[in-house]
Amino acid sequence: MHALRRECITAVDDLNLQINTGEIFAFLGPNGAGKTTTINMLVGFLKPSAGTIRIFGSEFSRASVEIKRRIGYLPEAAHLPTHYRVGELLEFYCELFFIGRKERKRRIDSVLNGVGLEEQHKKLIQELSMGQKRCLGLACALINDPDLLLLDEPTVYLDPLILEKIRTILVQLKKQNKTIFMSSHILSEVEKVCDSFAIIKDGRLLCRGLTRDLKDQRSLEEEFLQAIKKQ
Amino acid sequence: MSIKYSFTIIQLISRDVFKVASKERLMYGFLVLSLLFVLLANIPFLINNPDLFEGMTPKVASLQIGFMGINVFLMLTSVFIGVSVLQDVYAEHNIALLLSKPLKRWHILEGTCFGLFKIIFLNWLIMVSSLMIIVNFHTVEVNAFIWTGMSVSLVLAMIYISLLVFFYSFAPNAISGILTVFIIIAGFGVSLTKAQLASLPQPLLFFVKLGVEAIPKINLLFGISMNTLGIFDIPIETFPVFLHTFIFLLVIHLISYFRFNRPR
Repeated sequence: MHALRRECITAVDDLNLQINTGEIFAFLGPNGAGKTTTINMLVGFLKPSAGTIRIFGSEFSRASVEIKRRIGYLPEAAHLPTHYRVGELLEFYCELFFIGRKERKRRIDSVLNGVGLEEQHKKLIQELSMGQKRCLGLACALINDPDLLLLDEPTVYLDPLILEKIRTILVQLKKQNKTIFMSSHILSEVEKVCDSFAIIKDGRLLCRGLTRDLKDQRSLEEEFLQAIKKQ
Repeated sequence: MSIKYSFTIIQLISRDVFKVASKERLMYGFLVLSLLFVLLANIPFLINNPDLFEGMTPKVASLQIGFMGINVFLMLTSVFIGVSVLQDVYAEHNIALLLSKPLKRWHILEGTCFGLFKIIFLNWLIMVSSLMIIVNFHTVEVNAFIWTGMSVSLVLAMIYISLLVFFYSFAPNAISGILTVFIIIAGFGVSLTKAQLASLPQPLLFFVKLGVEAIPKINLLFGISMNTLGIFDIPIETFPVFLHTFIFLLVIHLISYFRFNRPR
């Protein structure tokens, strides 16, 4: 009966962030810092006990469906429904976004090509490797051609080849003026693609800055460790 | 958000739930067992000796066997498959993934209920069709009343699913299935319980009576079904029983709705 009594913890406290359009933003922090909780609030799974979330200039709680049409989300672990085949899952998500039949096929082929899963189209999801599932998760997040991408640890479980591919996708999306909000532990990867970053610990924002400002002084990893240890 | 939009989303989620349920091997096990049970409905016709079946004609005895098999396995399928499907569909990561799409929480709830009902309906259709074939084959006539009589089982399936979803929204584990079975058993004993209530002290009596009155009257619903099938002739007023059932369904569904619609 664990659902009847729930212990209350403050996972995110007084977090104030503003992300500009066309920016790749890295949301960093140690395990349990509140990164996934923040992303879960951004997709509407959790409701903030106080404060507001504004996306594309609209308050999320008032226009969640309209906002979610323009959002792509990649969850932390590759938790994808295993009863589908790759193509079927993308088809299901296309239908949820009301994408027409002709456009659907084009989009599915395009996202599968993008993440390198074009040959796995008919494969059962449970037969995919962890890295392939991650790529499929990214394909699912891109299926509605979103203006804002929320990526929770997009680079875990990936080999260097796929990492390179994902980096290219992210840079291409940035060129198309898409906004990317990603949390990650792989700081070297983040440093390569992100424009700005914020470091969070115990739900509180420790610091934020621009990646280009870091490069002259110290690496993102050094900045991260210093911020965490200082706290 | 238009009604058409909501309906399409609910239909899509129900299709997804149907797909999850159709992967459950246990369901096929129950279906095969139920069909074997329904096959037993041949026996009264083959023996053709009313003395062995308490004076019932072979047709009535056959319908009684089929009725029993269908209802038992429909309940087992609803509860066991329901719990398993809910564990898949209501998993936090699945809800979070679905909620990132342009839909509301209540769409997931309605889609799940509708999807579960669709799979139970399909099971019911196969079971009743088999019974129908057997009875029609032996009597050489179209016994259309079997569909009407057995349709009560679909109302019962709605009760089972709604109870399961209701309990699952409070206790998201197998306990919800056990609680559902408890309420179903309690629903059998409602009329017997009433006679025992008079001895209770007054303030307690009020609340116990309220609880007993609220429980779906499973025995009366079975009675209506058996009356239509011609197995028994019990005087039951159909309308109040169905009205009570639908009010009960509406209330627990609304509670499930508010419980599920509340973001964590």
